[in-house]
Amino acid sequence: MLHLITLLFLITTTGFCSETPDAILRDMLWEQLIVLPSDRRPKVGLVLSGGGARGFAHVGAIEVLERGGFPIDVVAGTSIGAIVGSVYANGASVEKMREMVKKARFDQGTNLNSFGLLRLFLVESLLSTKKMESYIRSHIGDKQFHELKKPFACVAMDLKTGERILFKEGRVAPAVRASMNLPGLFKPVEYRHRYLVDGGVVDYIPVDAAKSLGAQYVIASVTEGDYTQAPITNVLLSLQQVIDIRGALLSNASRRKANFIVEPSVGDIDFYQFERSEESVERGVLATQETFERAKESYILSSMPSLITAWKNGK
Amino acid sequence: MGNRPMGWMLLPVFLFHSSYAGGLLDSIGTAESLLEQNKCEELLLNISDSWLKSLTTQNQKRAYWILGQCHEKTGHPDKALGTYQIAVRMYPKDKNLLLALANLFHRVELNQRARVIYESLVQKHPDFPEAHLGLAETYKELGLLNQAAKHYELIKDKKTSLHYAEVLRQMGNWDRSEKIVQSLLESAPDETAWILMAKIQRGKGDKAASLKSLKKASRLSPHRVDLLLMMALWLEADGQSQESIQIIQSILRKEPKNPLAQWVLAWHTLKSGRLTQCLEILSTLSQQKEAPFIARVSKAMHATLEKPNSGAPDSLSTFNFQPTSHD
Repeated sequence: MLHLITLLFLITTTGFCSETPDAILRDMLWEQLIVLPSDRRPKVGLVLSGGGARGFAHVGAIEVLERGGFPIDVVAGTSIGAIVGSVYANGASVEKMREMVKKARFDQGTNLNSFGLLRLFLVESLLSTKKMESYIRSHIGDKQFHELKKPFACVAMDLKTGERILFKEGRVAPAVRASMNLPGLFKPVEYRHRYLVDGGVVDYIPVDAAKSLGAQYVIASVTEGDYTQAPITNVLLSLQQVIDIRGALLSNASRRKANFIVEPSVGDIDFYQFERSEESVERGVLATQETFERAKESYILSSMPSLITAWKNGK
Repeated sequence: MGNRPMGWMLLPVFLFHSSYAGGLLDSIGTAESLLEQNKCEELLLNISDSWLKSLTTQNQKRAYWILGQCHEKTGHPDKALGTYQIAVRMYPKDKNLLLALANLFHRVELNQRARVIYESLVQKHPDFPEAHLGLAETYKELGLLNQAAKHYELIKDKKTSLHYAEVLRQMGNWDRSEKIVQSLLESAPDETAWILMAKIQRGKGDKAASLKSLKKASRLSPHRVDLLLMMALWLEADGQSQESIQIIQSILRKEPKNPLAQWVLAWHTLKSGRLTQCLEILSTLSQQKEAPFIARVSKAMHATLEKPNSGAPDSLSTFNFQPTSHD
């Protein structure tokens, strides 16, 4: 009997309370906003940061946004964000992306093995990410940017000039490969006379890339590491530490340009810990769920002119 | 058991008036009976550490559980937490004490801490419906809806099916969700089921049916102003302004400053072309603190309407306001 009391106590004290005036209005305005055609409301850009295994949290963020009906019109990503972003822009379901995460390994798409490492240290021959292109193609096919279901852009850096290179046309697979090509360990990707490496060095949270695709409202999923706690015990970790520090410094400016930031708590996951990828996804879900109503409110407030225009037109 | 002495040292902190202790509680059964009768104050006055010490191990576990429940019911979750924590340290395998601790964490929204306990409970006791329910609720709060659905599915209890239906609604599984609520309404119609049905129907795009369901909910619970406000808002959104404004006026007679009622009024005046009146209401609303989102929406609307060419995709200068005597 006492168990039943506890059970009922638990049930009646959670959920189904009376709704707050704010929540009632938010839900109604949201309902009105998301049925507007994409050209009659601010275009939403989803921006996915770099971060290695941490970046799989983007899949969790996408899961909550999709489930809640948050309109995503364009996508931009750097490094791991470029991989997740390209697959999502190609129309993959959340279930399919979760499957991809389950199978993900750090050495996937590279020749990172004992022989490769031996060559790297003995004859300073950098490793190759050539197989990454086939990995990308296995998920999206050999597509051009304009063939993706949602407009998509990704970012890399030209190692010779330090320029930020924005990809939004041409073939997707080499662009994504270039965007996640860790410098110092992997050979730069030679593409259109450029020597391309990981975009995280110059644009960790590519808000401008989304804006270049026409985004008027940007929601960014940021998966920075806590570089103050990172162990720097080998070459790989030192290189990543440099990217993380540089990324963190650059990200301040990008953060200011985004309208809303979702920041999953993944700082303790190292970029190479792909065995923790599913943990990352879950943390992405948790962080996005926690802030989802605020994100909706933020987008509604940015869309008031559109809503007023719709009311004017009797919608 | 090794931690038991420490538990005894800390326990008096969580007992009320232990100096009153003494023989009023003759058995654990009396304590349970007082809890069932909700006589928690009386129970707390009569529980003493000497009484607790005199109990058998099994009864001690029950006594701690009862003590924690009493603290929760009398509005002292901190004391309840202390009680459960001590008890769990003494009896780390007791599933009822662990459940009580997890339930408390869940109630105070420490969902990650609750989750860890629930997960270990369902792993060790797969046939423990209360733990599955707690875990389902916790997953729901955390947004892990797929996992929540799995555990609701395992419970298969009518009392929890409304929550299961809500999870399915949030997952966009309209048909399944509607079916569950429909069957609930057939057996025992109540306001919460009608509200959920209204939301499901609105989510599916059946606005007429959703308004009917909401009206049924409101009829069952006429004191709920939130339902009337929701109805007025939906009616206004669906173009049934006359009915909407009647509801709003009746609310405003009782609560003249109700922010949502005021907002619906502002929206109505805007759609009726009475811009000046609308701006006046919005200006007042943007100052109020009771509903912060309504204040921000009002401010944003006011700014947009005051500067008609400032960013709307289509120029607002052509807004088809119908001039009235108010303007």
